[in-house]
Amino acid sequence: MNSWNIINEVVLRCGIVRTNIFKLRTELSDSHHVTWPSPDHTLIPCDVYIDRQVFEREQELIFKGPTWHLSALLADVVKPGDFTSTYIGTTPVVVHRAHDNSINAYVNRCAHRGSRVIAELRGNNKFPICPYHNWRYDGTGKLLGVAMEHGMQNKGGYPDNFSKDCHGLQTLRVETVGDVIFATFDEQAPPLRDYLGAAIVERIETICQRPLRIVGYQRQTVRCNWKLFVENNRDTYHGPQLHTFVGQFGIAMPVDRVSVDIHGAHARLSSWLPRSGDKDDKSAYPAQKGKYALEDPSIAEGFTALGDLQLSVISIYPGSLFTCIRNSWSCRRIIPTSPGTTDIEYTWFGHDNESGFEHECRKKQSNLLGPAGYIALEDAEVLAMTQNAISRGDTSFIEFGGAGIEAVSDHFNSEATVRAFWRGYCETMQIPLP
Amino acid sequence: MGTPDNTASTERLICTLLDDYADCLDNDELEKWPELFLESGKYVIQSRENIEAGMDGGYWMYYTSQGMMRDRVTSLRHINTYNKHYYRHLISNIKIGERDNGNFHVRSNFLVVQTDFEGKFECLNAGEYRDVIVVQDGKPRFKEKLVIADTFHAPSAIVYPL
Repeated sequence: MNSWNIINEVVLRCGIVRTNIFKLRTELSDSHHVTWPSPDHTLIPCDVYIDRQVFEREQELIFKGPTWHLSALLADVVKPGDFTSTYIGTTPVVVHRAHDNSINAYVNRCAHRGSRVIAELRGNNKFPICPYHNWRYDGTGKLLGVAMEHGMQNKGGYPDNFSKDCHGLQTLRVETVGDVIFATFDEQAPPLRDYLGAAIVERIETICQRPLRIVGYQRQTVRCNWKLFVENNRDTYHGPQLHTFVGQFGIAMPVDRVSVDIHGAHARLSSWLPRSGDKDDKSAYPAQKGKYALEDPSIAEGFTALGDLQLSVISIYPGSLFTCIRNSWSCRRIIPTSPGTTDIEYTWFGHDNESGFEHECRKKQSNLLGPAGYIALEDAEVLAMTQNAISRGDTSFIEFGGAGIEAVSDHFNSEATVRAFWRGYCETMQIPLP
Repeated sequence: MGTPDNTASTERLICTLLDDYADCLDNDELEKWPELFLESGKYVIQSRENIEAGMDGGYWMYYTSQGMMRDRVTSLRHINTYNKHYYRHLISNIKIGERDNGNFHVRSNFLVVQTDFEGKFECLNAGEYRDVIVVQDGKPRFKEKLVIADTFHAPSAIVYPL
């Protein structure tokens, strides 16, 4: 007897009403909507990149599920009333430092009819008001007042049992590590530090050893599924193949050692310069001469802000990212907008009180990443072509470095981080493995 | 300002520089682009979002010399991987403003439309040029070109200068 028959049998015996039968069937078919081809995550069914039902299910199970999302930096919300708007999945979210100095996150949707209560990217507003019917909130999401609560001249208005306490904005759980504010929809999500794991917490705290100062923002659409973009961020295989700017200009830094750390579905990539005082030729990967010479080499000038650590990529499942490459530092929020399009919100930062020279280095190195970046514009191009070529039933092959999903301390020649993503994905999406 | 005749000819030179700027990018003559600048010329693309937030960072492009611009051309010609595309610039509302020490402060509006390798069209960016232009020996050059991208959400990669 298959599961359909079991359900039908139960339904008949228990007399469950017909709408529930339909619901049970929908849920069952949804959970089996994607058939996973291999238990070790070396084969990915490409339907997950194009399927609308998968996309909707990801919104519920992943983005509103037990996951944490980088939502803002402390420097975004400094004073009481400061707010910044973003998205978690397709849901608009505001991070708001309230009048009482607490940091809050809420869904940017009025509890009355659903209009946005905040219609700016950032600003200061202690008491947001929905423009539609003038419902008034505070920065914690609490409903303070509604227009014509008692009608006019005792005619109309809300019934006596109407309680403003029951009609606040939908709030999210908020926790911070270093200067970074994370939010989750799920009360059951583990504490943030447990979710991120020791290696990522340590790295974020290292980056935040001095207060962060925001130097700019960027926004970009990439024409691919959000998962292709996340895979790309943590994929150490494509870097030297696709992004040859630093190599061809001979400005690659000598590398002493590299490491890949994996915690659950997260990945942390690191590379270190030879220890101060070491000669280049002692490094494991000495810098090579390039085919071309920069006319103005000042783009390659930099300073060390994190000791010998020269590259740090932190890819936090599902869609949060830090890229600190030389002095080009940003964090990104990866926001799915449709199965085939993804928005990227970048926040560029440095440390507070950097010198004029250091700030100038950061500005010049902003040429490396971002929508026009020397080592980033190619990703948007290649990922769009990848998305464009997907047909239903295709699979993607991820066996570089074998089938393992473990940390590596001496090379980047593995797709283990990508397999870690898919292991976490199958868990959160409740996709059974064969 | 000089005599009316001189003013008219300077205005003509400035408009020619803006035309040449658009032509080299629209006709895939990238090598001519840095030559429209002084050697110490500056070319910067900053988003409207960052201008409004008072940010001095997060630039899409930040070049402080002609050499950096030539490096961009070398990279686009020989190093970067991207799909073929065609730009078309529409520049309007040219306002030649104050003149100080031989610098002309010129503002104009731009719209850049892009056609991709399959012939599909999109508006890549709309915004404003804020230029500082000098005329030396009858030749106009950019001392500074600040591109303010109103379309601060890039619809895809930005490959060529805007």
